[in-house]
Order: sequence, then structure tokens, then C-alpha cells
Amino acid sequence: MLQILIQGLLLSGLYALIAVGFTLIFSVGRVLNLAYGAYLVIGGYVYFYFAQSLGLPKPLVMAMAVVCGCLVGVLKYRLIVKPLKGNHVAVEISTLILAVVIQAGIVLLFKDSPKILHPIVSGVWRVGGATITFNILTAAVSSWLIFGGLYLFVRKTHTGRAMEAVSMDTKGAVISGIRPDRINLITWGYIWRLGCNCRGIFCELYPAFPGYVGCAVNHCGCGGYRGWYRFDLGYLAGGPYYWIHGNYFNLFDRR
Amino acid sequence: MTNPTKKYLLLWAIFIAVMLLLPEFVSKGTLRTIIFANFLAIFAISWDVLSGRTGYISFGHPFLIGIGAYTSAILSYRFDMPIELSIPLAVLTTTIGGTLFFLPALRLKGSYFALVTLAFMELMYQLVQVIRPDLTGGTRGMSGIETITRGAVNNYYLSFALMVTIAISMWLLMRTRFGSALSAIGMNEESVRGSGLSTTKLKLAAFMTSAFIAGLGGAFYVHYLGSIAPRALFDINFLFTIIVSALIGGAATIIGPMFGALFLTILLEALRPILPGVERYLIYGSIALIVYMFKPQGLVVLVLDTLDKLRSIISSRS
Amino acid sequence: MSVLEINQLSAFYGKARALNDISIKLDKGEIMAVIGANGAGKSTLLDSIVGLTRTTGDIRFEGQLLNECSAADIVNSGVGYATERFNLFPYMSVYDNLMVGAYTARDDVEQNLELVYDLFPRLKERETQETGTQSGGERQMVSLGRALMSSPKLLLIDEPTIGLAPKVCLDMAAALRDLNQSTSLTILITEQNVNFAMSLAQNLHVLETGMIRMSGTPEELKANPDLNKAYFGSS
Ligand SMILES: Nc1ncnc2c1ncn2[C@@H]1O[C@H](COP(=O)(O)OP(=O)(O)OP(=O)(O)O)[C@@H](O)[C@H]1O
Ligand SMILES: [Mg+2]
Repeated sequence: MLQILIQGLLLSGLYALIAVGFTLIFSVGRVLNLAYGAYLVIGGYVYFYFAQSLGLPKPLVMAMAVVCGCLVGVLKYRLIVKPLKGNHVAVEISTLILAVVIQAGIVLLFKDSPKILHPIVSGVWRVGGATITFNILTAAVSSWLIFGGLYLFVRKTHTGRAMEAVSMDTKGAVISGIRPDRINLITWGYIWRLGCNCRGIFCELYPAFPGYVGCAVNHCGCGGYRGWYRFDLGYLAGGPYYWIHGNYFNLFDRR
Repeated sequence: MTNPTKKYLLLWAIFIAVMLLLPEFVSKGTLRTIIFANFLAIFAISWDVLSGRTGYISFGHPFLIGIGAYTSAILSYRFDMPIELSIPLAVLTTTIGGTLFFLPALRLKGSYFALVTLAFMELMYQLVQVIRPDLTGGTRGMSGIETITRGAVNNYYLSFALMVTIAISMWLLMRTRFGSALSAIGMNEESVRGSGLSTTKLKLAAFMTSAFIAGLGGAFYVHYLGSIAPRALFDINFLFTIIVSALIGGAATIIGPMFGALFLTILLEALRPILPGVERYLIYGSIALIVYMFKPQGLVVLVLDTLDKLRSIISSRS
Repeated sequence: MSVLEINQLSAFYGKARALNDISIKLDKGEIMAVIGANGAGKSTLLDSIVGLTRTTGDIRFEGQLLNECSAADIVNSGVGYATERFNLFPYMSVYDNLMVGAYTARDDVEQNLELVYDLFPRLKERETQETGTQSGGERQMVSLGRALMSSPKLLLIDEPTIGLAPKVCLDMAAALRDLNQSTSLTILITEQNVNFAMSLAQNLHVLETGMIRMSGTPEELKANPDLNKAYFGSS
């Protein structure tokens, strides 16, 4: 029981981070990015291939995942989201199609079976009857750090504030000299980076991911109405929820 | 009767005649492929009645199909209910149950509606496995469910009859004022509301029609397959195939989803020798994406345009 | 050289023409008012200046042609705009709203913030309140403050007195006059409140169904019987 409690608590940060990424794109660009789950998985596979199969140094691969993530995010925004501009339905549907394409691409390259990622940090820590791997601990700590960084970014920098501004009132943002286009681009690129980061430190990979989209969706709901507009501590208030969800994934998500 | 209507009726007649003669010419395997295309067309038409017309995108259609399929399967498999009874009950459950679930969502706008429907699909997927696995069969699902008829040819005629009945009724329904009101919502909901119609009621009616068809299709489908599993049903690829059939053929038409379903199914089969598994969706999805980005009106319009162009080239030559 | 020069401007919503052949000139340090009834095209005029509508004709700001520029570029080059519906960010604090206004003028943040808080001390008291929970008058101040945060050389204000109590109107007029005198800021306002406009502006234009019907100083317009009939209900 203690094991489950602690593990859930640690993983909750990771899920929260995943959810924030999804929400940010939704609130800034007003479109559901259904390919989001696919993004998460790609980060993991980049790590798997370069670090585990080719044996490149881990920090380098992490950086690669980030760069390649941004690149693909930007490409996607340029090639699909922007040409369909203004047509939310079209963007959402094309992200759904893209999700399927990415998933199939991954299966083509890496086959259907789940991949076990070796822990990035090895070792375990025993508390009472519970075992906590350093890997999960690292994942938890880094995701909370990224989470905190993101919070500061959105709240304290001009670009971050502009992201919020576009999400709340686009005309208001435009007459403040903000280019919504550019902010969208940054959001899409940035979210990629987020996704890759958290995936890179996760421990197992499945090629099938509708569950991840669902999980992001659930988390957004928990952020509440304000959560759509605003990246704030409301997400943290959802803590107990994430905690339950973390467990839930632990218990049932063993396909 | 007006001329265009006559022309349409003629086209329907030709189409039905060709499809009825089909089993004489093609193999059993091809026939099974087309059976799937028929069911897919039913699901796509169901999706299109709601989403293609009104612009309220449902990502939850597998949810509705799932209610229909599971209800009928459980009733007949676990409670030995005859199919003649379980299917109507399943359709009723889908229409009422789906409506109850979606009623709050129908008040939401655009993306929020899409989001909620997506969440329903995910919810259903999780629930089916956890709640009463003794009834639903849990992760494994059920097999050995009673089938309506045996053999590819019989099933082909059955699925085709069902599909054509649904298609023609929808075609007729969409030619009424109800149909045009739905299309008007898709173009500008405000102006429809402004003209004194209750858009919520219209959307509700569209939704119930859509759920009815989904339930019907789902119930028949499960009694064709004889088995059911959550992974195959509440799957992003399945959702994708339904939506893309409607869009790639041409949304807000009847022929569009039918054509799209046939096209996608045949494409999928044609790719099988080259790529065996899920990888096919890479090509399949890319084609869908390209068609969707460059010809949002769909393949039917593309084909007609091309024919027009050819005709004008030929006539200018002679 | 005039700060803003508009020549034969027409604006369109789809096929409908909302502005017809407008020509206006503003000199540096001038306050000008455009008055007109609902639907006359006041908001459309200001929207057109910052490039938010489809237009024909010339708009020059400090001699530079604005027609091809994006809204962001125009704001960047020194045009501040406080819209009629304020277009504030409801879930952000007053301070954050103002900081978004500083997006294009990041070097002058402190100085501008001081200016805004001097002008509207109430905003400083309410610095952390979310604008979504504020009163109409307070939002009007935030909207103006946000426009000022971009260090504008030309300030466009759409109906600054809308929904304000008479006493607050006077304060607003005083604040705008102050601003105009202390920084020689050029201001273009639109108004339905003719008294307010006349007390503030050196020159006025009367807009009717997208066209300028009359122009002149407050005195000239007061002497005009047509205007009196239309706006004061007497002759
Ligand atoms: N987005 C739009 N689409 C179509 N027509 C519009 C749009 N915005 C304004 N109009 C029309 O343009 C005309 C001028 O509108 P505008 O908003 O500029 O008036 P206004 O003078 O600001 O009125 P008010 O005092 O009510 O704010 C009106 O007839 C209005 O209906
Ligand atoms: Mg106005």
C-alpha cells in the first residue's frame, strides 16, 4: 500500500506536466491537439533509439529529443495548423489523422511490442516496506522542476504573459503589439519540448497511446474552468486527483 | 418530380443494381471486405448526420457504437435473449443512453464538445474493462455471440440492405427542412438561432438520429462478427477510420461517407500485401491528410471535377 | 508634419462598406474627437487605423504608410489603442494586464508604470485584483493604462466615457488633458457624449453612416444648427 501511495505521489507530477502541455496549446491556440499523445511517445522513442540502441551519451540524446521535438512541432504548425488557420474543426481533425500517422510510423520503425527503457538513473531507495527507484524519483523531481520553470516562464516573462494574453483575448493581445501567430508557433514548439522531456524520463513505452490523450483530457478537466485560460496553481490543487490518477495508471495500465 | 431528383433516383437504382449483382463476380474474400465497408459506411453516415452537418465534431462515436454492440451482445449472449429483441433494445439504449450522456455536452461549443466526446470514448474503454467484467468479458471481450446469418453472400446482402436503407432514409431526411436547418447550423449557428429556431433542439434531434444509426450499426455489426473486444472498438484507429471515411468522401452528403468507406476499406486491403499490420495506417493516414488538406470537399467532388475537366477538354478538341 | 494623416479611407466588412471616403489629419499634441451615433463607424475607424479591418485609401503615421503593416507592427511603431469593449485579460491581475501592454516597450516599463499609476492611483491600490472582477470604470482605466504602457505617440480611445458616472467622466477628461499637456501626446477619441468631446477636443468630426458630415472646432459646431438638432434635440 505504501508503495502505491508513494509511487502515485511521484508520478502525479509527471501527469500534471503532460496535462499542462495539452492545456496550453488548447488555451492559446483554441484547438485540441489530438496528436499530443503521439508527441509524448516520439520523445520516448528518440531516446530509446539513440541512447539505448545506438548507445549515444544520455545527455546528448536528451538534447536531441528536445531539438527534434521543437523542430517537428514547428513544422507541424507551419505545414498544417497555419494553412488551415481559423478552421478549428479542420485543425483538430488533421491532428487526429496525424496522430494515427505517427503511431503507424512508430510501429513501422520499432514494431508493435512495448519497449523497456533502461532507467536513466539506477538504484533504489527503501522506505519502510516501499521501494522507490531513483529513476522515478528523478522523473518526479525533474517534472516538478520543469513545472516550476514553466510557471515562472508563463507568469514572469513577456513571452509567457503574451501566451496567456492570446488565450484570454486575442484582439486585446493584438492591440498590445503581440503577434498571435508567433505565440502559437512558440507554444507548439515549446509543448513539444515539454512532451519530449517528460517522455524521455519515463520508463516504459507503448506504441498505442489513446490512453495518453485521454489522460491529458482528464487532467484538463480537473484544472477546472479557469484552467483553460490560465496556467496557475489550480493545477496543484488538483494534486490529490493526480495522485489517484497516478495510481490508477499503475494499477490498470499494464497492457 | 423535378429533373435532378429523377437523376438521383436513377443513380440510386444503378448503384443498387450493381451492388446486388456483385456477389456473382467477386470472391468471398472481397465480399467480406465490402461487408466491412458497408458497416463503416453506416458508422460514417451516422457521424456525418451530427458532425458533418452541424460542425459539432464528435470524437465519441465509438462510444455510441459500443453501447449498441455491447448491449445487444450482452443481452443475447449472457441472457439468451433472441436477436430480434436484443437489437431493438440495443438501439433504444443507444439512443436514450447516448442522449442522456451527451445532453450536457450539446450545450458546449466547438472544441469543448469534441473534447467531452473524446473523454466519453476513453471513459467507456476504461469502464468496460473494470465494471462487471462478468458481463462485458473485461479486456478480452466476448466471442461466440450468436450471428444473424452465415456465409459471406448472405451477410453481404444483409449489410448492404441495412446500409442502403439507412442511406436512403437519411438522404430523404436531409432533403427536408430539418436537414437544411442542420447544414445552416454548420455554417452559422447564430443566424439560425436568430431566425427563431431552437438550435439546441435541432442539435438534439441530429444527435438522436446519429445515435440511433450508430446503435443500429453497432448491434448488427456485433452479430455479424460474433465477437467483441474493447481494444478493437474504442480505438483511435477505428475512430479515425469513421471520421476520415465521411470527410474523405465528402462531409454533409450521403454518397460521400459511402464512397469514403468503400475507398478506405479497399485501400486498406490493397495495402495488406505490402504492409501487414498497423503500419498500413501510415500510408492510409498520409493519403487522408493530403486529400483533406487540399480537397476538403472530398473525393466525390474531386472525381466529379476531374470528369468535368476531361469532358470540357474532349469537347474543345472535337 | 502631422502625426496621423488619413486620406480617402474606406473600410469593408465583407461586401458592406462601413466607412466611406474618410479624410482626417491630426497634428502633434492635438486632441481630436470623432462623434457619431451607434453604428456610425467609430470603432471601425479606429480598428482600421491599427490595421484590423480591410480598407482602401491611405493611412499615414508620422509620414509612414500603414496600409500594409500588421497590427503588431503598427502598435510597435507607436500607436496605442484602448478599445470600446476594453479587450482586457479577465483572469490576469491589473499589473499583469499592464505588463502585457508593455510587450512592445520593455525598456520603459518602470517609467510608464509610474505614469499610469500617477494618472489612475486607484489602479495601484488594486494592482493584484483580476480585471474580470472589476467595475466598468476601473476596467476603462486599465484599458487606457495598458495602451499607455506601450509608450505611444498616438493614443486611440474608443468611447472613453461609456458607462461612466458623470463625476468619473470629469476625472477622465482631466486625466486625458493632463496626459496631453504633460507629454504632448496626440489623442484621437471617439464619443457619443458630445459635451465630453467638446470639453476635451480642439477639433471634432461628426460621423454618420460611415461618412464625415461636419467638422470644426467646438465653437463652430456649437453654432451649427444641424448638429444641435441631431445631438441636443433642440435648435
Ligand atoms: N465585424 C463586423 N461585421 C460586419 N459588420 C460590422 C462588423 N463590425 C461592425 N459592423 C458594422 O459596421 C457599422 C459600423 O460599426 P461600428 O462598430 O464601427 O459602429 P460604432 O460607431 O462604433 O457604434 P457604437 O457606438 O455602437 O460602438 C455598423 O453598421 C456595424 O453593423
Ligand atoms: Mg463602437
